Amino acid sequence: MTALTARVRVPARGVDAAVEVSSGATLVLLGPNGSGKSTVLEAVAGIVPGADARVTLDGTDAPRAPRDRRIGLLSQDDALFPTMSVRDNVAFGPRSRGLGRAAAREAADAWLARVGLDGLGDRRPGALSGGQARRVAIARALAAEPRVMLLDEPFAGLDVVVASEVRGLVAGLLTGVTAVVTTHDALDAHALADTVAVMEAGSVAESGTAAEVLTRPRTAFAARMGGRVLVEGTMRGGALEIAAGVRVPVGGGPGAGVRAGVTAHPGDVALALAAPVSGPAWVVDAVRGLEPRGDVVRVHGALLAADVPVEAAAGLEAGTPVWFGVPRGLEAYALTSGAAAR
Amino acid sequence: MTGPRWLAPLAALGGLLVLLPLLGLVARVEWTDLWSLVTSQESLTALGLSLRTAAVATLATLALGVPLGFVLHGMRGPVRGLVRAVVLAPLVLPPVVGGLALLYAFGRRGLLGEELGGSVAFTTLAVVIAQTFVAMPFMVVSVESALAARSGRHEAIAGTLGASRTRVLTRVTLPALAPALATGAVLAFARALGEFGATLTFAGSLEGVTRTAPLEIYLVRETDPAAAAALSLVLVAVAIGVVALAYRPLRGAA
Repeated sequence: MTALTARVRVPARGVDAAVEVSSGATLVLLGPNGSGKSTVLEAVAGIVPGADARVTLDGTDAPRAPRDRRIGLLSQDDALFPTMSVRDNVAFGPRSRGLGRAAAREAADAWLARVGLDGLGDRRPGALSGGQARRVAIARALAAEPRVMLLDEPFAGLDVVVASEVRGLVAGLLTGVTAVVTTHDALDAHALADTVAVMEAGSVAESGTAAEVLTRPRTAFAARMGGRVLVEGTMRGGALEIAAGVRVPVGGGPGAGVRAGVTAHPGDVALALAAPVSGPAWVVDAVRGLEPRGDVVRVHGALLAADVPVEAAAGLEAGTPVWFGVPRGLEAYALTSGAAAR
Repeated sequence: MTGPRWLAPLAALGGLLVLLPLLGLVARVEWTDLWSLVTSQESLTALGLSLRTAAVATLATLALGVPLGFVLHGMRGPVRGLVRAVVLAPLVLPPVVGGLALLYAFGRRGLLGEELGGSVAFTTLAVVIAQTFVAMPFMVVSVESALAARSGRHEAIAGTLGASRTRVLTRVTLPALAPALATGAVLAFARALGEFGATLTFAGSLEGVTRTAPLEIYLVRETDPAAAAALSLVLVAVAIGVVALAYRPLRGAA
């Protein structure tokens, strides 16, 4: 069990971020594609040329050479060695550490069994399905007995059923392992994270415990990555004042004058096209974008977002004035206390 | 892709340019005497020497050309272009010029003549050196272009798994380069087998020592055209056989 800290600067890719994981915990790096998550992981593993990465393991500077770092990386593309059998792929780490051929084979077969691929050791990577290849890559990384495990979008590119199987497998295997997992999916964060860091444009926008960041986000960006909306305002007489005269009654919260917010799931936010009179607290806004999400469309405004049935979104386009209905009585929480980012 | 139709007649012309001389050669072969001509003592000696030296030269291009390809791939900027041009020069140099250059380097009066304790010129070693000299560029080009097609991702991941650089090379990179190495080796072998000019200039034409099959053919073409044709046919057969068996065009992605 190893605690990890890393300060990564890769100017060529616009990345400047710091992450920290306590021993045996899982940090989820949550961010959209292109926010620099993969670069952070690769730099921590030591394989980004020109990166300035200060990595410590249990407070000691990590060795420069990747092979001495013992930081495992599960890359998005699996990167299985195509010229070796599945077993030799998994045995590669143990063999590199000096284990004998027979012992390494044994270790590899044990790992293959642990990831549910008993008996597939003689296959070539090319003959595996996407889910099987991901499992082999996971087994290969863990068989090398890394002190810290980095997983780059471990469930991306898998169909939903396989992805949830692999998610369950990873959740089990990472118990007690210091790990950093990148994802753009709030579900992964909820399923795996002890702590969450939200990445935006190469740096960490917000970090904290999973409960804090996912259920009480302090920035609209973190809220969106966590699949929620954040309504920001100032406490005034038992309500959250978003703008002059626009108030959302809340069920409780910090004292008057404090910068605060309430958060809701877009599915709980109502949408109206004409000025409504009753029901939730209505906030006037304009459509900024429409995001298809299966059988619903997430209508994004400047301040809020709401999920509506596909047919209800048919007449909407960017600029259409709309009213978002925020449920009354949500718990408000202060946005100023604590650092937004480390 | 197939290209426009007018390519076809030009392609046919190109094919004929290669095929007709081969047919001409086959037409000259006296089939009844073929076996005895090929198995004559001179022919067998020359053929055996050719196969042995070309095989050793191919191994030498592997041992030296592969590292050269790696180093070249690792270079950056204008230096790389310059070094590549020098390393590949034997490919475009007239072989006789190459032979002269080898003589001036390793011959009795050459740069290293003293250091080599006399002369390697006019020995079987000289044949191998001449063949390696002209054949190595094929290996270098093969390796360099195969490396350029690789992302380096597998090597990086192998590093995170704890592998030393040597282990990454032998277990990850070289196996992935196997098709390119095979291609390079086949081309190098074929080139070494056909070497004539540099060999004659640098190694001479001593029977059993430096007189390879191409030299033997050149020597007997006036006095014994039938033997020359027979031996030529063998070389053609070996060349086509080797290339057909082992040569695969390099693919873009490795």
